[in-house]
Amino acid sequence: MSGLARAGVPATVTGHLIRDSSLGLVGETLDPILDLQAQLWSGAPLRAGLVELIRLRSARAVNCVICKAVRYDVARADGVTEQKVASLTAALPGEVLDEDERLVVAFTDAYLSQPAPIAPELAQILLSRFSPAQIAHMAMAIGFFNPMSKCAVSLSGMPESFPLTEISVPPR
Amino acid sequence: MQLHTQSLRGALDCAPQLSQAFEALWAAVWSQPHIPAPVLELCRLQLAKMHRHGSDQMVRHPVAQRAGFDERKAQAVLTGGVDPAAPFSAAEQAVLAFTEQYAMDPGSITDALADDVKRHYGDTGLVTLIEAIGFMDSRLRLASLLTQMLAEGSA
Repeated sequence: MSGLARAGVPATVTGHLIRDSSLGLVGETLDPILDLQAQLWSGAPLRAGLVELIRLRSARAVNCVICKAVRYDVARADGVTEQKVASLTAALPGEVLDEDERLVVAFTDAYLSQPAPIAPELAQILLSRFSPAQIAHMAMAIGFFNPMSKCAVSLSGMPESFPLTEISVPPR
Repeated sequence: MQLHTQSLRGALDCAPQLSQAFEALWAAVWSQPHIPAPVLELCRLQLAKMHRHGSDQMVRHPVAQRAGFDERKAQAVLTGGVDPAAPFSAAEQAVLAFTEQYAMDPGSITDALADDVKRHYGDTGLVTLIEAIGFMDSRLRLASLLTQMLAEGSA
């Protein structure tokens, strides 16, 4: 997992977590990444706690050490506890998660399992429990956080371990 | 109807602000100057093939087409062969090898694969490529998943 980072970082240090990373080398995608990330954490139409469970379930599948260790403050404020996070290591998270939380985890698993088809029963429950806008939010959350975790792994330089770290959503 | 990476927006526009930001990022991937769009198009087709995503194999990204994308290379990627009249360049071979390994397991990418990409496109090109194939992969997954869900919703 560890090893030397495969890409450098921008010459100018700004103090911004993402702008100063290797992602800052690609100026054309940097602002769209920050804009999308800010909107994904806005709390609507899907609340931040559900977005965090999607992100962490994906981070676990990708095995991104840093992504797994980070907690977003907005998600903690929305009720994501370490007990809930710990449940994400199970194939089927248990009673510590409420029904909505279990469903977004199942949706994430369905994404991760593609092209295997989603269970029709799960699809029906998701469609009845969440609005189309909320499902779209789920889709874009996993469609963003999954490749970002894979990006971190692909660029290497990952530490063997990383302390639990609470962060705020990086400003645009 | 089978969604594909370019028509995915139709399934996401019910969250319009988010969808706009999601599409802006996708557009930025294709318009950046670090990896040519026709090279990225080869990567997208390779991922579509590995995902067994039929409709994505049938479409071509307009930015790549406007940049002179060679359809013979598309067919070579999709069939797993090489057209002697349109062989892959060393740079294309490097990004295709990297893409294939990424799709199987990003954690198994070797320094040699990354170095080969950097030899042609530099550090910035490597980061660009990783971002691009990441969002291609995610849109392929979402296109399949949301197609399945839409079918269930109309069943």
